[in-house]
Amino acid sequence: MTSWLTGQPFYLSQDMCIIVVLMSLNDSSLIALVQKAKGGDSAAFDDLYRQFMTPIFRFVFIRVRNRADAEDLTQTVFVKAWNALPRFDDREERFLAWLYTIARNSIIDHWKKKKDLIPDDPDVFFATREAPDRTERLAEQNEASRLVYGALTSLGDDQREIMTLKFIDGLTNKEIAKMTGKSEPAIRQVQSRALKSLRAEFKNNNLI
Amino acid sequence: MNKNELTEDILDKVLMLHDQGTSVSDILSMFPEYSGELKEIFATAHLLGETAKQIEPSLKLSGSIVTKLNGKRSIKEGSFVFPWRVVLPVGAMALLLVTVTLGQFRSSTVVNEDQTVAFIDNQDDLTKKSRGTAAPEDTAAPAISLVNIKLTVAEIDQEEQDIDFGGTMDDFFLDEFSTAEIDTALAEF
Repeated sequence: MTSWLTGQPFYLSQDMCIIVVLMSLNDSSLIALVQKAKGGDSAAFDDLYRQFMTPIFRFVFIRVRNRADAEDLTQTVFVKAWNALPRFDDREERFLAWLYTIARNSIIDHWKKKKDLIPDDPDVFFATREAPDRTERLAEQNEASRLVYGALTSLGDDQREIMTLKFIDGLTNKEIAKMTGKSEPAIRQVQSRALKSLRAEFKNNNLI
Repeated sequence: MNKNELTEDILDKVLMLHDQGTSVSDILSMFPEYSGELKEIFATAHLLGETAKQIEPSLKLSGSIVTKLNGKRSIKEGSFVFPWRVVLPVGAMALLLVTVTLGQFRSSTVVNEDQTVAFIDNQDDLTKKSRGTAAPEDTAAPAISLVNIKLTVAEIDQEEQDIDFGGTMDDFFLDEFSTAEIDTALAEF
């Protein structure tokens, strides 16, 4: 938002950000770390979950909308990952995509068990580590976040899931296709419609 | 900003290029007539990602994951997995061996009728010996030869009554005497 309004070519920074993420995920050091962890090196796995704890927490939190449950589920994902690590093949998929698949299945199990879930208040939803000290800037930021989140939740289930996987979780369309069982053209079509819808919503709220 | 409308086909192509790794600046230069709308589309996507970045786990989460994983590891390391694949066949073999051995042991303790009668006589003799009424050993030996002793079933019954121990002959022999005792007794004669 701010980068767009200040005229900064944010799209370049976003693009760079994606490239950096992709580079880090394909980094040989990550593959080496995964291999070590697969061999039972718990210190290597500790490094992996420190690196991926936040994206997994976000992935879960956006879907369960409850901080306590999201933290529990994040732990569950890593415990499951630790146990399933010997079966992970880094030639077939990225480690993060594999973690997302575990997280997705854990969330499905979670919904089956806990149908009466009470979502957190949006203020709690976007609470940062410094959030308790509510400054004007944070309030403004939270207001913008609420609007973005409101627009995202107004989408249909399919659209919201695919948009989140693509633009928040940073998966490729191929990975989304594998995860959701949809074809890549179908995924692009959903993204196309959802982006148009969100663009209109964000423009109405002066977010872009 | 141009007035061209961004169609779904164009947007689909743009998204495909972006997914394949084409940079945003390259995409914008490829579709200059839609650059205004495309910038808004990319801004929308960017805003989604930036908003999500505000979602952060609590600091305690890292610690609790460590604890949970350590607990899991210690259970894994400390747990004993019973080796069923080894124990089951070995156990079955051992059971078979015990059964066969027991069967052989029982068959060795079963004595035929002649031996039984001989033993009864021996026992009577032993009793007499213990009472000090036994005949000298040199004269007693031929009298208890297994070959010379022929008793009928009726005589055996009579012997049972004489012994009067309150059970059957089988019970008497199986319960009261071990193989070693029988062998010892026979060896003395």
